[in-house]
Amino acid sequence: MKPMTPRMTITLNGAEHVHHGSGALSELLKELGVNPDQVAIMVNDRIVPKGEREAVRLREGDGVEILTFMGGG
Amino acid sequence: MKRNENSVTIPDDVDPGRWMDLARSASADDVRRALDCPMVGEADFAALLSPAAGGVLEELAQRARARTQAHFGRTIALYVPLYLSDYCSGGCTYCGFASDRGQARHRLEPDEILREFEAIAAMGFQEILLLTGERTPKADYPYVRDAVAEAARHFAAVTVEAFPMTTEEYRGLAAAGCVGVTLYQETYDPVPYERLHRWGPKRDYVQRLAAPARVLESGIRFAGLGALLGIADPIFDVLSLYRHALQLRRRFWQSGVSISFPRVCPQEGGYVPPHPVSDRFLAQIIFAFRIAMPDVPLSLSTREQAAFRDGMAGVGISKMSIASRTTVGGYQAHNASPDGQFHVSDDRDVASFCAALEAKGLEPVFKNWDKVFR
Amino acid sequence: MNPVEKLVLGGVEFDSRLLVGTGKFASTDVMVKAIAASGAQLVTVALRRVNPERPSDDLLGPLTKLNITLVPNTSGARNAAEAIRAARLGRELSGSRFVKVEIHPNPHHLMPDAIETYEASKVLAREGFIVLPYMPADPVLAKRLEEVGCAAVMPLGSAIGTGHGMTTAEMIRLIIADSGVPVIVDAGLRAPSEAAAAMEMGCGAVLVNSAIAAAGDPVGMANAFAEAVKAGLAARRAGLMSRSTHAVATSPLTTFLA
Repeated sequence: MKPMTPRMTITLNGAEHVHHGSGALSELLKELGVNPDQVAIMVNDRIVPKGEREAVRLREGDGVEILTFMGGG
Repeated sequence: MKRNENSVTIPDDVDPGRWMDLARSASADDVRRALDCPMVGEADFAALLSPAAGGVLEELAQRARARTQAHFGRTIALYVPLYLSDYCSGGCTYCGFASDRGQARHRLEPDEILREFEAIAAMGFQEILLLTGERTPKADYPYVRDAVAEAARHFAAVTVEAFPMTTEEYRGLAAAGCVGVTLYQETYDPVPYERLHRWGPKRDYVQRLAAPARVLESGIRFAGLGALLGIADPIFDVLSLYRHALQLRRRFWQSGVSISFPRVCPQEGGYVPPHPVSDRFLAQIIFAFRIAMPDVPLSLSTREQAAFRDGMAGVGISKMSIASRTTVGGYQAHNASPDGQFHVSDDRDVASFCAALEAKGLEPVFKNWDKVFR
Repeated sequence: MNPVEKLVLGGVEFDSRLLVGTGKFASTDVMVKAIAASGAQLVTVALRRVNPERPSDDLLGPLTKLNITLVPNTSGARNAAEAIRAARLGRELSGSRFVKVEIHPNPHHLMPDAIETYEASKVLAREGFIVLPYMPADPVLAKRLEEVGCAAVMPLGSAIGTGHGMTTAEMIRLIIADSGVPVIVDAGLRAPSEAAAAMEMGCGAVLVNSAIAAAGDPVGMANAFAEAVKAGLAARRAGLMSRSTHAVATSPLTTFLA
């Protein structure tokens, strides 16, 4: 049997997003074309420090927030 | 930095060192700036103590009166002191109660305290200041606390001038109904301090200096500060006193400080002040405080002559004692002499003093707040 | 007046007393040039969700090339819990311990919520943040914020972005008189002369964003603010001359003195 590419539906920055991959954060960032050094990530309301990203595997239904800086006073 | 034989120094946040020159030699322009700026700072206060400011004393007086009226209206708060005890463990060279003085000692017993309170209340007073000497077994913390608790049943405001206490003890006083604690540093200069306080717990300069902070930490509303003018360089002491008050106000911003201006005069024991402060300079000091701290109660006792007190009332001074006795008790027995710890220079009774204030357009106020706020 | 040479926030020293914001600039390029012209060492930034469709408008890259410390703000937060979360995310992203606590639930006037600001500041100071709270010009609140460990207080001069200047000057005077931490006027300034006036009054620093970003020439205006802040501080140190007083004709008060 041919292995299927895993796919899962997550809530990304408040909107539904279908992720094609293993659920590793690096794969998600690559899929989005986002520079991993320039974002902070929260999964299910918990901040994932940069050093702990490797250990995270997203699962169906997870809520993910990816944030960066913008101009502000 | 001044350092006494035991290497005790004045703390940085009280040390007036950097302002001393300005207080001695400010220019007329420095004084003018100090008189005109909306927020008087440390340099301005120093300038107001200078000889140049003394040359325009009338202007200082006008400014001081304007600020007194703006914050206190045309009123003078009245209080009365009651010496509970003249037992003392202190050896203050300048004091009539020092423990090497030969006189018989006395303390008021609970029934006597009660009769004194009743006599004082009958004179119309609503604010009473309870005094003792340094801590002794005869007049210790429980004795003072119990007197406060009883006083709180008779008066709207009870304040204490006794010995330095722990924060816990001050909390106990607050709970008993004490709204203010006065504790003069006497002098902020550790060198004469060491010399003048010959023995007893009062030799501990640092402990005494830290006591007003403990007072305010405990929740007591007011810490009364003062330097005994005449026993050391008054410029040094007045600048330190100002910085001490400033520092306490910043730290305990929900509480208040009040300042008194005791001036030493010859006591039993023949003490002659080495740095006598003239009427004019005392007036200048008071004006400087009023201009720099418009909202702080400034108090003048009956140590001073009637004419000086009448002149200063409302022109800087916002609070005064009257009909005082500086003996232990003495309010119920009318034949007793008023003179004990210090000589009472203004010996008018309540009615004639109030008449003098009213003649100046000032209203005597016996009660400033009520028990519901305690 | 204490002639402290440097601005000290949470034990960190700064030469510049002008903080600038990064909002409302026409382009990142102009923003970077304006920051450089301002000489600011502390620069505020806001957090937002990444937009994968527009990955180019990244700020962090250009900002990290400047020799500045980032101060992430918590704008967008409507209460203390949201602000605390934003602050933690900001620290994760910037590596900076500084945070500007900014909680303004009303989108029309953006006035800060004193209660939520206090609660968030208390928690964040305990967590080791160097907390700079944007606050109403309230002297009592200023002391309360100092007590919970804020490194400065940042009262507003007037509402954010209005350019009405120091409408709260009297309150800010009271805050300065009692404050044990630097007072930084934040929001409402329009002209460099207002920044100079704030410094003359005794403020430790000023924070400016719209007045630079929305100026005809943001880089020129950033430079003007830098000069004004320096002039105001120098004036304070030099001591302003007194205003001439009109003589008060009253009866003398000192005749009782010999």
